[in-house]
Amino acid sequence: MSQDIIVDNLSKTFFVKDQTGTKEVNAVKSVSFQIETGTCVAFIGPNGAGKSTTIKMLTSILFPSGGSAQILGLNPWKERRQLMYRIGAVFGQRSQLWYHLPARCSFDLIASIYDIPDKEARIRTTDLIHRFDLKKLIDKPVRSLSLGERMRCEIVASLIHEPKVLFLDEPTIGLDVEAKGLIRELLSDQVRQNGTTILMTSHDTGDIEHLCQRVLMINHGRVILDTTVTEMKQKYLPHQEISIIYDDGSEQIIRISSDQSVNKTIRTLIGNKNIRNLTVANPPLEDIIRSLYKKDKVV
Amino acid sequence: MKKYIRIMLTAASDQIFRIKSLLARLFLLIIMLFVFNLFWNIIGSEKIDSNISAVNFIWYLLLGAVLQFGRPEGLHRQIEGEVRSGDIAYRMMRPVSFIGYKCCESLGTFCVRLPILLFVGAALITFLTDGALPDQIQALPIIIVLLFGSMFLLSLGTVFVGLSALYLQDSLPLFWLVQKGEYILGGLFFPLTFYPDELFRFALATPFGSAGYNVTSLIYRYTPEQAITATLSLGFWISIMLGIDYLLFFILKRKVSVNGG
Repeated sequence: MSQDIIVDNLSKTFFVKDQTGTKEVNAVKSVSFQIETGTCVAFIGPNGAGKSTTIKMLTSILFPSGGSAQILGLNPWKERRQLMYRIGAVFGQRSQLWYHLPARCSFDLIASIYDIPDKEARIRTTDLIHRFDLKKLIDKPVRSLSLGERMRCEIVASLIHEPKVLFLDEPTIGLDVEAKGLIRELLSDQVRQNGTTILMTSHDTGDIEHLCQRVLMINHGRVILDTTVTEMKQKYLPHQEISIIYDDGSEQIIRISSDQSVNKTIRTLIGNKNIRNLTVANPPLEDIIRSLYKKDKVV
Repeated sequence: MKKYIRIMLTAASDQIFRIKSLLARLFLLIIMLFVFNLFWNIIGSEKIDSNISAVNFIWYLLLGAVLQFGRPEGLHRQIEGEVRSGDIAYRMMRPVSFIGYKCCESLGTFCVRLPILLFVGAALITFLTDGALPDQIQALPIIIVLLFGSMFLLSLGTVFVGLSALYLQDSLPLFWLVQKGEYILGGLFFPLTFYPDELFRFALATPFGSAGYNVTSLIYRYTPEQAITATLSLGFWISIMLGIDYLLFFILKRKVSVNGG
């Protein structure tokens, strides 16, 4: 499979002025990774980890201080114009839709901005409206849409020019459970049907579990973990919870660290007692991620 | 080019959906014209400038007001917000010029507002002046075309004010200065001929005089030469302002890259 995104030792240093003078802030330090065509990768990390800076560099907004990158075989900083036509972006809290106008007007405008011929734009928009189930919403002013409906329109707006790589920054922020589910489903379809590569930042572990095959974790400007979602859940469990209900009705809940044997612990706990129920539960993904954030280096 | 026309069309459609804002501006225009007409009749224009009759003056004022009320509200605040929040960085991802986008937005808004403001204003003036017309009413079509040039120049000025937030943090003081410049040096309240000679010449040499008086005064002093002068002057200042805006935007892009978004 070909690699849509190749990042090699990318770094970025900002010069921030404060009362004591100019300070150097190394926002991104030698970040390297590759992303295959048609995969959805979660790019996660705590606030200030360097996620947005990395994405801004990959989308040609920022010039790096060092290293290199190739998006769809293009250098983001030297071939910026060509790249703009081949990548898309949704930034959760920044709208590209005209607030007082129906979303259709914004779609037409975006198609023009990307120099798509009218006929072609109509075909693409109709297809996206159908896939994202926007038929009833498309002629309503954007201001009258719910947040979830608006986000569906935002995603459509970013797909009109058929980008091969899509950068999503918190696409489900502020949405209710149902709307989140729908957005995830639609994005999954986009990856499956169109082979779009997605690099997504999100603090919502649901997005990561339901959408992404791979996780890139960044902290203090460095990639600290690059693994599959399944492997992360298995390999980086901070603890497990054993809950036992005995025949006499008493209950015991024990939390064991990941390096302790579940088998041995249960044998020791039970002894000669009879048990009615026993469960071993993994912590939610959120806990796994939180525990990884605390470490400076995982891999 | 097609994309910029589409931006204008979208901005024009947006105005149709914001009818309340337009009605508020119409109301202000009516009050203003009414008050100025009364004021002019009382003091007598001929005492101040023998070239400008009350009818000429009120039409001159209408064209200035159309420029002022025809522009989108709060464009500088919107740009300032984008600069301060860093959102402007995300706008750079699109294959469209930021400055071109904002100016086309203004022109699109003006496309809708100009005919409505002009029609209502002209109807009111005709009523107030018993159907009298200004000396060079036949120049109105040319003036309307030039007003778009004026709006383009004013929009470039507003974009400059918004982008200046990069250095000033708050662009309001500069906006205040520019706005007063438009009124005083652009002659949007009084024709520049009211001023002493030195101030008149100075005002004419500024972009404000070029966008305002030079164009709007054609309604009573039109000659083909004056129209050509107004067009050249607009062209000159538009080129200068475009250069300044692009330079500022270039610096802004570099700053974003050096200091973060």
